[in-house]
Amino acid sequence: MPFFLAAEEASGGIELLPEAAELVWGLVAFLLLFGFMSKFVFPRFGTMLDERRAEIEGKIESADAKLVEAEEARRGYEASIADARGEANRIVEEARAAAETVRAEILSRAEAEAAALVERARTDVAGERERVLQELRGQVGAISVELAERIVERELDAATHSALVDEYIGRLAARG
Amino acid sequence: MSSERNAAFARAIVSLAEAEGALDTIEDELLEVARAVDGSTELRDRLTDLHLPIARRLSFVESEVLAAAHPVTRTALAMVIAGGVAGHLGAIATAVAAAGATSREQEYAEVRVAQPLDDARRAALKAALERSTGRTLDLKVVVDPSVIGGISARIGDTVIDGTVARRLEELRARVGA
Repeated sequence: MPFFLAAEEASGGIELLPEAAELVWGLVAFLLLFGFMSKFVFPRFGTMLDERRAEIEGKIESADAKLVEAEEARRGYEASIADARGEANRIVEEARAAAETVRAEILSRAEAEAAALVERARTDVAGERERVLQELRGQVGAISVELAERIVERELDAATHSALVDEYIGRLAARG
Repeated sequence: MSSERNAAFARAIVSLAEAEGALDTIEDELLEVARAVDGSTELRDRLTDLHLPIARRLSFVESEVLAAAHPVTRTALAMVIAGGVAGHLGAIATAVAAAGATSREQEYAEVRVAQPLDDARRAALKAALERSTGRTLDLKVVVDPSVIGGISARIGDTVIDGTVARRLEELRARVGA
């Protein structure tokens, strides 16, 4: 019969305490088991734990080293990126300066060409104007002289003819 | 070459005129006809066109306009036309007048006016020209409407131009017309 049933029967209630013999045997068994465990199992556990710890610590160290290495690599990359960015900025700046130079040169050349064109056009216009004016002046002169000739021919009466002849004779006499 | 031919024709005409004793008249008439020919393109073409039959060209000599002319004048004109030098009639007439003047120990002076000169002005002009040039002149007055007004005198190579036409020409040159 189990000890708790015997205790329950004896007291009329539930008895939790085992009998003394059971306690002794139990203690002996426990000590034997503990001795065995201490002798054979616990050292193995310790070794396993140490190994495990060492392995974990090694992995942690390795991870730390890799982390450091990664950090260095990251710094290296960042430095490279910074260098590349600086180089890119320098190239962009150079390209911008070159573009500005080319732009200024093209602008200057275009302005010079435009000025030359304007000047040439101005000269052409002035020349053409002068030519037209000369032509016009000539035409006006021709018309004026023709008109003067007609008027003179119409207006020259006998008295004027005589006056012109007398003037001619007078000048000759003054010369002689 | 043509000037030599002109001179030869002029000498021949002068000889004819002197033989007839009418050099002065011939000079005047030839100058007048030369002036008329110069002023008429149609007449000039008719007299100078060598493709026309000579009889047709010479018909001018027998025309009414020359009916009153001296026979030597008509003969001289016939000679000039038949000789094919009618285009130089002006130069020949001038040479005849110059030869006539020389024979009278004078220098030929051709005066062009727009309207005829009266005797007083003609004498005054002759005197003034003689004083001016220092020569005795044989003055021939040609009425030439192209001078418009005033007088132009040619004595040898000297020209004294006081015409309205010359003034208008100067005006035309000045205005660049």
